[in-house]
Amino acid sequence: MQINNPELRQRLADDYVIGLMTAATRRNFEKRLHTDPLLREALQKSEALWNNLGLAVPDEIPPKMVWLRVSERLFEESEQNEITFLRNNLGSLSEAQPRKPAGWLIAWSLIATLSLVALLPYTLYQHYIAVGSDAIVKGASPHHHSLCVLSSTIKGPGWLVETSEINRSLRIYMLQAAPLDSNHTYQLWLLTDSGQLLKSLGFMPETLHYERTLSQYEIELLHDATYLSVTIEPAGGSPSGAPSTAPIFLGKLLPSDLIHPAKDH
Amino acid sequence: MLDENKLQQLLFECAEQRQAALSELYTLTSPKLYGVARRLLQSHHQAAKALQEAFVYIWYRAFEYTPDQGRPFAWMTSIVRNQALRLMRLETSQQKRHHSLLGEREVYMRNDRFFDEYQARSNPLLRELQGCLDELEPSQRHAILLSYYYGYSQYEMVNKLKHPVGTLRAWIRRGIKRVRSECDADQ
Repeated sequence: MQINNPELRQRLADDYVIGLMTAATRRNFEKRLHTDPLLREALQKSEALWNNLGLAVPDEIPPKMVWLRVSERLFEESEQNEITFLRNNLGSLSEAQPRKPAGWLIAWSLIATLSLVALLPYTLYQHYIAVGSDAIVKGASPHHHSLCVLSSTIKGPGWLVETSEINRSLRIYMLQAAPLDSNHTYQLWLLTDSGQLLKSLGFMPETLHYERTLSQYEIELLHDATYLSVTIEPAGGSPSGAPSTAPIFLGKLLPSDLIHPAKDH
Repeated sequence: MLDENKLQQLLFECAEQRQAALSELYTLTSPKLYGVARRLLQSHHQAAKALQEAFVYIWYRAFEYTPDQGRPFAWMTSIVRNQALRLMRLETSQQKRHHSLLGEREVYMRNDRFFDEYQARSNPLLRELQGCLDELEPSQRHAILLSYYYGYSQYEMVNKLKHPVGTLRAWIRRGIKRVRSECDADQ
């Protein structure tokens, strides 16, 4: 639910910045920020005013180790640099998205489609190994199957994802995603064609192969989904229930018969 | 005095992943930002932690900054304050902070303006904001600044200013409203 009164919005934002809210009200306000762009705008306006007070604070030189640690964390880990580059180029999903497909989605969908076509023989081979040749011949209609290669412009393909409505399954094959430290995890998200978030589909495996059952709700959401994305989240998953960063890997869900037309139809 | 145009340029360069830009941005702004965090947290160790996390965040999120979000320094201050407030809300941190705040007494009891730092007249934006704050009753100004600079909770303010919480809230609300309407009218 959004707050429709602009004066109330601004008053709440001012209360938040000055620190006039109780803990419970503050948590409620922070939750609303995720869903109310006008409230976020009011908060920005409030911060833009009140945080000028920071200029009045006398200088205090911070300990030298602060900068050393900042530069160690940012510039001495090449993996982090690549992630930064991606975040920089993809923008943030947490902001309101335009209704039309964003430019980065179009670019990524092209990359994902090309990767998918290139990886098709691999997919079929993996599928053949996993379920046997009969399943490919006699299996469910390919209309109910989707494939998606989650790619990064720097690293190339990271995972191959296969969904099957008939088998109610989500299969993920890791291709070449780098393992994360124990404080972080890769999380998979389902997105519409305009980049709107539908749902998290859980964590990405850092092992070679993973399969789980899809709920009826997830299957229904798949009908509205166009993209899958992966972000890096704290261990245990995104605390807000939404991606904390822009996608690190992205791919377009394609019905498998678009790539490999069914002989029965 | 901080040059906001320079800060903006450096933020844009950070968004392009230029490490030298972050280094310069840190050199220019960290003394003030550290002061902001130190006042809220009442701990050099915790303030250093908040500043470190804030600059990592700034590096990753510099691409999100646009001038319509306010001046660069205010944007960076928001990030530092959010990191500091997050640390401040940890229970152990609050206990230590409450103890340290007692030592700040001399600073803010000196007169009704109570801040030595309430002098930065060289920046036009700050001058305007301080002008608006000057129009307030001393009690209103005092309550707002205690809350903003030192992160006083309502409970702490009741103890400090010896007024009921309802009165304090009303002072601050009236003060905020007045400052906002005057500053909005000036823009």
